[in-house]
Amino acid sequence: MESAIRTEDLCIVYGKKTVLQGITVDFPKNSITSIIGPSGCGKTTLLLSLDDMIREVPDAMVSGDVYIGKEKTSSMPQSELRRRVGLVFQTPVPFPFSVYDNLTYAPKYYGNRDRKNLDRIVREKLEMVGLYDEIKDDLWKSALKFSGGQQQRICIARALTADPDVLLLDEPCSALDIKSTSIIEETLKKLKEKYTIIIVTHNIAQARRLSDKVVFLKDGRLIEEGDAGTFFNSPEHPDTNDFLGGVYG
Amino acid sequence: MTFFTMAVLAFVIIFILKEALPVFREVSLIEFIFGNEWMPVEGIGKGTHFGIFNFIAATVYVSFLAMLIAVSVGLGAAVYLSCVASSRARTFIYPFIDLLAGIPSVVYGFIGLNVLVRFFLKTGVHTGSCVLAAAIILSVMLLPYLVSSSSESLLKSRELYLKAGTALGVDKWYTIASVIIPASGKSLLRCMILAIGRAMGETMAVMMVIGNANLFPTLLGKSESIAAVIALEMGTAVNGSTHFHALYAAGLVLIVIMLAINFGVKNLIKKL
Ligand SMILES: Nc1ncnc2c1ncn2[C@@H]1O[C@H](COP(=O)(O)OP(=O)(O)OP(=O)(O)O)[C@@H](O)[C@H]1O
Ligand SMILES: [Mg+2]
Repeated sequence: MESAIRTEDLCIVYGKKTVLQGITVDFPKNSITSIIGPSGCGKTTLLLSLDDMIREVPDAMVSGDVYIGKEKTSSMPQSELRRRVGLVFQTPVPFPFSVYDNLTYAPKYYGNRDRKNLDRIVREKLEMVGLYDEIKDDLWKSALKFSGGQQQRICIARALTADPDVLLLDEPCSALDIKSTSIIEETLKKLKEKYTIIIVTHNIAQARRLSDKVVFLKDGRLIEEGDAGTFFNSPEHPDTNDFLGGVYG
Repeated sequence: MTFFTMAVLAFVIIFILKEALPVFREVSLIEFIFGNEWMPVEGIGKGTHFGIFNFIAATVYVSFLAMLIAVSVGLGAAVYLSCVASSRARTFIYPFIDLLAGIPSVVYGFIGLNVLVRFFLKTGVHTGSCVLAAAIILSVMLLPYLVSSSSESLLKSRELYLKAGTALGVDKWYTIASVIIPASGKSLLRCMILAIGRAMGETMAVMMVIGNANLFPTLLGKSESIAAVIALEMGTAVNGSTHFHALYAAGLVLIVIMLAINFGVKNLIKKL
């Protein structure tokens, strides 16, 4: 399968501590890849390297390469890279504006001023996250006044307004209840038709439900990767077995 | 606690009211507030006059001018501290700001006299004392407070929103201007009311450089603030005289202005 984004011998060091070592992995297009592994193994770090947000961390040193399609991300303008790779955080951080202003923030920044066009973007992206019918009468209400699950979906929609190819999510459901979680899972399954989705999760059941591909990290190393069926049913590495069996987590 | 502060405030107001009201047996409220002649002791054949309009104007003028200077410089400094400086630089700079806040106002007044007033004298301002000098000194005194409290709230919004903006590919300064500063808008306004209260009440430093002449305030002219009149004349006013009561009434006016600004801005914040 064609890869949307891949890393080659990626190493990340925070100060003196090596957090990722020689990660070479690819993320296939129009599919959901889960990154799993014990706490502190470097999942967030790997995710942040994909859109170069890792450089915002003071004293992070990066070596190795990340490619989007055939392009090296290090030779792309950062704003273009960030535009092509959207990021959703663990806790939803909508801007303290209305839903409408949240969703038009990036389009306006990129020069889109036409009111009709903006209206269309707002509607389209909210529909993509299954929120339009739910909140279409409250578009001018502050985004902070919605439930956690709704806020997270607003943030996913906001990430989509920059028209990315790839969507990164760092434990997007860890602060949400079961119902909101399953709504977001359904949303992501639909979104993979248009986008490549990479999700960090500490919830193995969620990875099982969602993934096409799984990447398993431990202590900053890539232990095993593969398509979800094989990975969960017949993992090769003993560490994977232990992890899936709940020996550590 | 709120009850206690309310009680103290009520006590202060009642006390001042009691001392202030007798003045209105001699002058009408309108004359007192809108009159611009202040002649507390009988001059030869002229009688006494108690009009504090110029003092009110000077107080408001100096405070708002000081605020304008302090906010433009202070907001810049606060944005720098919260969004540009490293956390190491912050831990280094904050103690200095606290130190500045601890300098007594007489010292600021001295610096004002020796530096600002001299400077204005050289540039041709008559005697050098002027409203602008007072506003500058006052703004320097307000700065530490404004910078430390507003950089605190800016830092909080930066931690929340800068990453979100960066992740959308938006330029850092655009996010600062369009999200981070507006997000702290309310707390910035709140800092400003507290600061303006302090500016209006500040006596010593202003008195030392403003020239203390009963004139309508102009940028480079002398004038006199309410707090300065009270401080300068209370010692010589005969206890129980109209002059004495008039000074209390001037203090009352100062409190009313401060409360009005306070409530006005608070209501504005609620509506935002
Ligand atoms: N800014 C930083 N400076 C120094 N070390 C860091 C920094 N951020 C993370 N680390 C360390 O790097 C390692 C990997 O962190 P990372 O956040 O990628 O782990 P994670 O797999 O996402 O963990 P979790 O499941 O707890 O979110 C951890 O040991 C962590 O302590
Ligand atoms: Mg993490």
